[in-house]
Amino acid sequence: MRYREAYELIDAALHKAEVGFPVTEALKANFFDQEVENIGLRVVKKSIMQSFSASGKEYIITDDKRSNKIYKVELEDGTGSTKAVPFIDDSVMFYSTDENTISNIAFTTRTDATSGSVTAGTRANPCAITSASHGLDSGDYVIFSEIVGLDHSTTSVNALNGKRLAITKVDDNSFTVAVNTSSGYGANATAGKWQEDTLKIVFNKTPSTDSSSIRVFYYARPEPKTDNTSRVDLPGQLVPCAIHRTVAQILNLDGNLQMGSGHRGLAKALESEYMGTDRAREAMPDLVSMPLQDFVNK
Amino acid sequence: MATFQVRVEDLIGSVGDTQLISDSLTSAAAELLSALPKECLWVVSTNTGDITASNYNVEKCLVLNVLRENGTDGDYHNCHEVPSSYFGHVQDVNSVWYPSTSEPVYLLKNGHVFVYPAPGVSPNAFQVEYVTNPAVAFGSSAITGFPDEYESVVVTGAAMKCTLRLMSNSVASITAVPPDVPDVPAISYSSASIGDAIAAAQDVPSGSVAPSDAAGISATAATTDAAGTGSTGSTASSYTAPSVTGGAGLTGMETGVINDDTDQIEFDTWWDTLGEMIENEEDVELADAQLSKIRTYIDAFRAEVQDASAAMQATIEDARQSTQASIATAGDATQASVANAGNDTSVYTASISSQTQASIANAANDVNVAVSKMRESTGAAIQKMSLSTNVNIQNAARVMDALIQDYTLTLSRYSQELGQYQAEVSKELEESNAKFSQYGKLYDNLTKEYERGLAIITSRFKQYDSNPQQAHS
Repeated sequence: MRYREAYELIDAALHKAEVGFPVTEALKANFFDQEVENIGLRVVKKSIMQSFSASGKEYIITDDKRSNKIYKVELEDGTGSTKAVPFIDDSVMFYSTDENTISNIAFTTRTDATSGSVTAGTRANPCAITSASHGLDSGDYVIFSEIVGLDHSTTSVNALNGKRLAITKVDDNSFTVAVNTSSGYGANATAGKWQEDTLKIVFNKTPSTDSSSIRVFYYARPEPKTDNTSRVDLPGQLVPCAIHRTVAQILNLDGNLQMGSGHRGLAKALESEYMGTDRAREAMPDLVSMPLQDFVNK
Repeated sequence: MATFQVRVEDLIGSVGDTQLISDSLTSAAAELLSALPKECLWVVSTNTGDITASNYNVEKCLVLNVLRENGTDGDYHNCHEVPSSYFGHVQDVNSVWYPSTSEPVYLLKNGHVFVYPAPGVSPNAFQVEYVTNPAVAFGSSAITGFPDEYESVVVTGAAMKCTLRLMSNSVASITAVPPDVPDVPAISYSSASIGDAIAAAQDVPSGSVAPSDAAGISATAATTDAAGTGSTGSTASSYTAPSVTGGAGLTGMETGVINDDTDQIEFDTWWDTLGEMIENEEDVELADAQLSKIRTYIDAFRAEVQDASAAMQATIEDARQSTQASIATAGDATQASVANAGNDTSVYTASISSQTQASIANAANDVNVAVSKMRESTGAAIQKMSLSTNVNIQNAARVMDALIQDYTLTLSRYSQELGQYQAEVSKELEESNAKFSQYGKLYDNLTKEYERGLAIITSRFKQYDSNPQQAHS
């Protein structure tokens, strides 16, 4: 099912409810797209792997479908043998410790969330951003907000606001983002903010030089929506869950809590049915260790 | 098909007003369009074709749907209707109400349809599906674009409206002429006048009733001076001082010369002479003699003074006695004068009192006579006036009675005519009520027929009106 069709079904579900405000596509997308992502992470748990060449202690998860639900990390040496790297909590990770004193390698995840101000944004390809002492490195991700300027001449849609983009460092006070603003946009940006959103896997010691690659396995988010014709990246049984949850959110906003609760209950029931049928015997190593899975599953 | 006039009058009889029939047909068609659900109106709707302006005038139209191209030529998307209060939100790209080309919106404002995202030339044009209220003439046989079953309902609706007119006409047909309401009698009761009113008090005593001056009272002569007739008979007491010789007096001293004759009798020289004897002559004996001489002389002088004093006291006593005698005499004279004056005053006072009382008595008599006369005169006038007033009142009452009697007769006659009129009106009302009742039943039947026609039309579109909640369950 495509997003457009899902939105039309939401309209149909709300037809008789006579919601007291317009249910625009933006409103539906705000709730539905988030529900799709939540259900994908919570219920579907699509597995994905990203590999890195061993170099240093930190590696940025660059995939759009990233999540911090990493359930396995492997180190492969030049001979083809692999070994699993255990997870340790960030609270027991001491970055200043001499790694020669650490005998066993382990990993944790961290999301950098520094922030800064945008003082200028130039119409160019790529778009050049000025931000004094930004402290970012190439490959870091930032989310822009409150950008003044760089509005599209026709649609008035801002080129940066709300977008998560990887940066390329130019110098300590400027970087670029892969957005073509060279034409079709109004005045240059004069102000704004950014917040870092870089998901990293961090090792307690640098993998040994004989490790040729690192493979990180994690539960991925659904495929991001490009436009309304994009497919909803959920199993067919779970699309109605997202629809009912969205309807419930909108009805709750309108004060119709009883009907909203009904839709929410229906969505839960559908999720439960899916878990009971398609995921009954599937291991969930991110929840409990393998031997205990039988006690978790019905 | 016959004309609409024929079809309406076949249902309710002659209407007699073709304009009423046309108006009723037009009104019924408009009511039908507003009463039917939107699903029933697609068969009579009109499409505007592509509109590239920012809005479209839809006054006197019922908008059924708005479509907008989504950026691809010919790919029309249904627009959602939003309240006009969202006019600003739907144009704000940062608002959650900002629409997309895949889900555009429209709103009705100032009799126009506004479409957002802002339309333009194709592939961003929009179209409006709408229904306009048709004008239906009594002589027409069909309504353009209306299905036959819709026309039938319009005819029934128009017949209902015309029946209302006939019902109204049946009420206003009373021909009986009410009797003229008798004029209100002019009861001009003139106030009974009071006859011979007293113009003024009768014989009011003229002039003042002040008593005249008491006669015989002249200015009372003052009593004569009560001067004493006697005078003090005493003579002036003369005091003869004892004479001494010497120019310097008794206490003066002058130079004396021993053995000078002149100085021997000049007592003011004796002291100097004594001094001479003591200091110059140093003759004590002479000095003693001289002192003795002086002492003797002083004694003699004292005796003489005593004698003069006694004489003077006698004189004073004489004068005192004489003065007392004079005072007594004068006192007696004064007492006599006062007594005389008192007698005179008493006489005058008695005279004044007597004459004043006489004057007051005279004035009182005059006043009493005048008052008595005035009272009698006033009483007579009041009695006359009372008699005259009573006559006036009796005359006015008779006039009033006559007027009331005349008006009572007039009212009686009017009441009879009114009764006759009420009977005629009742008869006509009965006839009118009968007609009204007939039209009422006809109206009820037409209403049922109208509702049946609506139900037939709407039942064809029921499947679009199902409850989605029921569909879910």
